[in-house]
Amino acid sequence: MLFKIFLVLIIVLTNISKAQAYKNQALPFSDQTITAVAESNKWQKLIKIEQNSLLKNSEFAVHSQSFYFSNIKTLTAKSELINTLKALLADKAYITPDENPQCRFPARYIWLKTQFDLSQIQTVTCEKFLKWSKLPNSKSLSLIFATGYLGNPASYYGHTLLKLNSDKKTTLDLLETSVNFGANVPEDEDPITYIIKGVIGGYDANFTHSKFYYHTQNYLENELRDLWEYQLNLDKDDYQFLVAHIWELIGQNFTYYFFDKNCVFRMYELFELIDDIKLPSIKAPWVIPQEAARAINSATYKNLPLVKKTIYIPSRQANFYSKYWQLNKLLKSSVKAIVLDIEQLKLLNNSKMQNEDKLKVLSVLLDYYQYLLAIDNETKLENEGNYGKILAYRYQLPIGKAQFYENVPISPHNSRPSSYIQAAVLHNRKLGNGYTFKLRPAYYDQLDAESGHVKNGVLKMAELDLEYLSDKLSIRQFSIFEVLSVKSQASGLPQDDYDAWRLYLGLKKQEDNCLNCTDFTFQGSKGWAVPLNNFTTLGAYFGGAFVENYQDRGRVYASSHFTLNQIINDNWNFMIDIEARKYLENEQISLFNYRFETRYKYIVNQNYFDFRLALSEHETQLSLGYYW
Amino acid sequence: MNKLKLFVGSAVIAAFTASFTASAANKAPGSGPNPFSDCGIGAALFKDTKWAAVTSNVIWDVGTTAVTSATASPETCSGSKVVAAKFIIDNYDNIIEEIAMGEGTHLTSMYNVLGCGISTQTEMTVDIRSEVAGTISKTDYQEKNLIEKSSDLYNVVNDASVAGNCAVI
Repeated sequence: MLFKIFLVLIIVLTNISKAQAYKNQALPFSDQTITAVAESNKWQKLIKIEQNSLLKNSEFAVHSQSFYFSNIKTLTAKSELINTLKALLADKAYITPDENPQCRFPARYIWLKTQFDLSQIQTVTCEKFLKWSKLPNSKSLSLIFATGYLGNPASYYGHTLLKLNSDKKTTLDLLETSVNFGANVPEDEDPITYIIKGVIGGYDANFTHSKFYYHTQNYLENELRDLWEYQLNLDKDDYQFLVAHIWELIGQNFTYYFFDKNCVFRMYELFELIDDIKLPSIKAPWVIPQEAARAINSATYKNLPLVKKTIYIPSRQANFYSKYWQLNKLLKSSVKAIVLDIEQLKLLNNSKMQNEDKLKVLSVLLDYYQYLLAIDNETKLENEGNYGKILAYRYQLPIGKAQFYENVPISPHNSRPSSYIQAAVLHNRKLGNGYTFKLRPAYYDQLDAESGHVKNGVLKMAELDLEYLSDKLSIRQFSIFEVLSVKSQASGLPQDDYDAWRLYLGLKKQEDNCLNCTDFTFQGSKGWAVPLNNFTTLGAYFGGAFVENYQDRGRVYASSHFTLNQIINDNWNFMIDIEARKYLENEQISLFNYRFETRYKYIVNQNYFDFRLALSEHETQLSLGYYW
Repeated sequence: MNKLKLFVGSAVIAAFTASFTASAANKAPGSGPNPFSDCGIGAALFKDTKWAAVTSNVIWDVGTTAVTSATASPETCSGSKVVAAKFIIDNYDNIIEEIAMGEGTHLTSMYNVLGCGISTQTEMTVDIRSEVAGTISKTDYQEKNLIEKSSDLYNVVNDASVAGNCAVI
């Protein structure tokens, strides 16, 4: 071994003098060829030029000097190509092979070999890259979609990452390498700064890598978000090329923009590097993670579907609900009794109870307490204690898995697109006939939640609703954000009841029979949304709002809402919302409002439409909506 | 001067590599030390907390970190052992639940990271389960922190009768 190292050392040292010359050497390729390659789409994608200009620095997405051989201040596609070729051709010695340009930029090297005669270059073994990529043992790539998370505004709409899969037969290897793209947000950043900087490009962002279990723990156990894995159908060469390019990007600095140049955009960009992947373009100027799931599922690769397999990975909470709702009445009551008093574990000593049923009850309880540990820090000690007792009891029973059927929801890629436009005719009993037009960039309302959304919930951002009424065009509503969080599957067990909350910030009409009465509104309420069965949910909310003073009513009101959500069939549902409002600064004013809205969805050739009829005290509205 | 430094450096690396190889070859299966207590890596790697809400942007390369931070023998703190230990502590609850059931993705992944062949996994699980059942029912189990519990589990796995079939143990 010593002799080998000594030999390598001698070779390295004798090559150092040769290396000094590479900067000045002339490339053995014509200027015409170099220019053509520099202008090619592929080269520009590899060096992350955002548009087809060769001149401006600002259009390079990466702003780390380490990503380029050229000086970043004077960078052009052509200069970078020339310097990359010179670096590859240079007879330079490196202390470790991993510093070799072939190892730093394996994808560039792979592709440039197809454009130039680089046969004189001696191929080196890139140990770090091979160890990281697990090549040649890793065989395929998966796109992972994490469903939305209301605990973090940047994750409302979900998240995407990549996973490199080895050829092991196991269904899920948690030690696979995963790749993430995210903003570098300082710890303890306040929410306002976070949102503003996220929107205007105030954060750097990087591709990073980790073992996949890091994400399964974070998403499934901690944030309680389901994961969807889409395994891609790529051949060996394209897979290795893509992995090589990802390696080049790890740790490089990008600028993060929440709405467009976000995690999904950068993942999407990676797939565009492969010529044989035919991806639909993303239509909207904003990029939503679920759209990436939809897009890759409609993409093709060499005339076959790009996605070869879809796997659902439920969160701890989803597992708990799925199992709990499969229990029969007796087993549910056993679970409840044990939760109310852990000493009631002795109920399971009943010899009449089947072992299979005991396993089911214990499995549900383990999930329940893990779920509570994730959501409630205040009762952590107590829940840990109870969890430990259940676990100890479980170990007294024989080995074996409780048998539940797998409850796989509809994959997010099969749900409707995220953005919505709507045109409607309006009859106002006081103001006459008119029209309305609505644009909602994302995401869902109480009637149109689908897979990956919260049933009967609301999540909207920047929804604009215009009206043309009495010969005037005005804003009916503009929501900066609106969130209604409900737990439609809650078990009703302690700490898992049907609590719900709602927040609204934006502009809103003060009532439905006025003109020019759209004012600032900040509304909040808390309550319960209780599912009576799979089709009917009743809600009660109490809260209030800060509004602009309208007709001397005052700026603060308290309100209570009573709601009904009813599913009639897969395509048809409706809701009723009754509100009692009391203005606090003017005690003489109380209002009573109601709203009824029904929706019928209609799909034609993968185009998603809906028809809606909405009624309130003074208005009737008939609309046609389209999802895009 | 630079050439001399490189030569001396290479010689040291070579000697280190040779001793590591010899040490690994001579190890007794199932008798290795425990990275939780013997690596000197400390709280930076093994935190006594369940997963906190973290930004998902941290570069994680446990193997490299461990090797460069380790103060004990290279065998104890080789990348694979620390990766295995890290996997156990980060997935402890899932693993312990799956040992009770006898199967699961976390358990399989633990065996994978330890390099245990598929043929021995079932037998190992029975063995480990029996040991865990004994410790989990003791009153002091609840009082142990996550590091102690994970360390105990690592020892149980390490001492399993067929652990010699695992490459990393």
